Amino acid sequence: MQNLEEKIQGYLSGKLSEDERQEIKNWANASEQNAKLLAQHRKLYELSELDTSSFCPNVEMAWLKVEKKIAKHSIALNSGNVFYKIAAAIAVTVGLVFFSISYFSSPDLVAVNTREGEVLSVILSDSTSITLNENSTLKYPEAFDGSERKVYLDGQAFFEVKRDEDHPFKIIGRSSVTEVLGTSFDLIAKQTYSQVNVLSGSVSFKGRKSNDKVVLEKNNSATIVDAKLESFEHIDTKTLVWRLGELNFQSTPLREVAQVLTKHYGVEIQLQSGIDSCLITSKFEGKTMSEILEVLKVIANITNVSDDEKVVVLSGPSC
Amino acid sequence: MQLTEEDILAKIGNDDRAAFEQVFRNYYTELSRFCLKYVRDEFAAEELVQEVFINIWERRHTLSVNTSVKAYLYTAVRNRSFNYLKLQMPKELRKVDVEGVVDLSDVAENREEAWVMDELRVYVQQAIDTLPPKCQTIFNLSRNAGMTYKEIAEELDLSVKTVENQIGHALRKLREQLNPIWDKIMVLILIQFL
Repeated sequence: MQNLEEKIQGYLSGKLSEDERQEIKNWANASEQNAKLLAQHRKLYELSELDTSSFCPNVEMAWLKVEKKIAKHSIALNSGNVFYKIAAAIAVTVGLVFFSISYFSSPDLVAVNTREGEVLSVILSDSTSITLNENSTLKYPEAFDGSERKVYLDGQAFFEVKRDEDHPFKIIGRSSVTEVLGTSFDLIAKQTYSQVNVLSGSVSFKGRKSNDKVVLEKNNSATIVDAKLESFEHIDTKTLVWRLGELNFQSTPLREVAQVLTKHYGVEIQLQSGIDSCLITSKFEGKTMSEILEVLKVIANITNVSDDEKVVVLSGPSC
Repeated sequence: MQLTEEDILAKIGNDDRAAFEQVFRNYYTELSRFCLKYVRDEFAAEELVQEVFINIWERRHTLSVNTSVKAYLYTAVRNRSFNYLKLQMPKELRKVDVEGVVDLSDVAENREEAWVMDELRVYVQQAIDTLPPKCQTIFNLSRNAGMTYKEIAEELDLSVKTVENQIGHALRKLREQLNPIWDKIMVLILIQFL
């Protein structure tokens, strides 16, 4: 039977000798069952052809990438030159922050790169907002057309996708494909590692190298490590910290502080009566949710924190 | 001014970035499409073609091309595609994953009237996407890269038997997935012949 399948494939692709062709024809004529099988194979053969002519890569962008690589190699050859080393060292130490936005002619794809220590916000044509973490690259079309909204990410970014059920929003990473209709989530998309943390709505998350796929709801997360997909019913707040930069509260009522924290960490905070107007003056930088809660407990005289990973209830005798 | 291939290669050998760029621009799209037939992944196809060019630039001083530039590029892309596919191959034969299979029955019911071949093609492509990676790669090489079982086996360091099994499996899986709608497809074929 295996042999027959190969013969049928060969027959359909025109690779058989005249004798072999006749053999298949005879076989097909031998019974209705066989004829049907051949017809099915023929249809499958036609339908399984991959249409590559519609694939139009962005030559401009590809050339820029290659140009950058070959330029880097030329420099590497001169690396004995101390000035390059010093220049590189200075660039890193000083942490000079600059970004480049390049507009390319062909299908209007825009590439945004962030350097070390740089965070950048981008608003797309559909009013989706994307915050790009350091050392990341985002490519997107100047205007979306067609049935889906497609962007490319290498690195980490926070997405607030404008809801549009007719045009799914797709983020193509090197190891993952993330698809949503309208949600907010944090995504790391790198060569061998991807992670998504969903703060609202739902997200479909899929590996590029396997068929594994998972649909995540609010407060769920998933990772792909070396093509292995794993999902979790909580979010990894540590990976979300980058976006906060510095939170600076100056005599801010606790209820407003709670709103800010909810927005940033995706954790709902309920305040029992009496403490919601406690004034908070404090700076937080790169802290996790629980670290911030520890500080708030002291400032606002909070005696009870109940935490079921999704809702945090704070209560106390007021301050 | 029309440069001959020798001129272009000589210029590239002399570090002429513009000549290199010209070759890149001439061939990039067709090479990416060619590569796509092997790797079935647009992103990977582009990366691989770019790597081929970067590699050529790095070896520009020692590069010797005995065939046409075009033939050389195609061969380089083909070889690189196989290296890539070999690396993608899971070490062990994965078990067949029945979940994640596209459910066509709904579609067949809802779309009876507006059934067009193009849509059907999309569903088959999606069904191919749900095959295990190894199976997918082998089936694709047979179908889209026009390779024989023996050629596939040699390129991927597999036995012909494995290739046979994998393609047989792919075909069975795909036919199964089309099971709910074969009748309609057959009617369609009849209509085409009328």
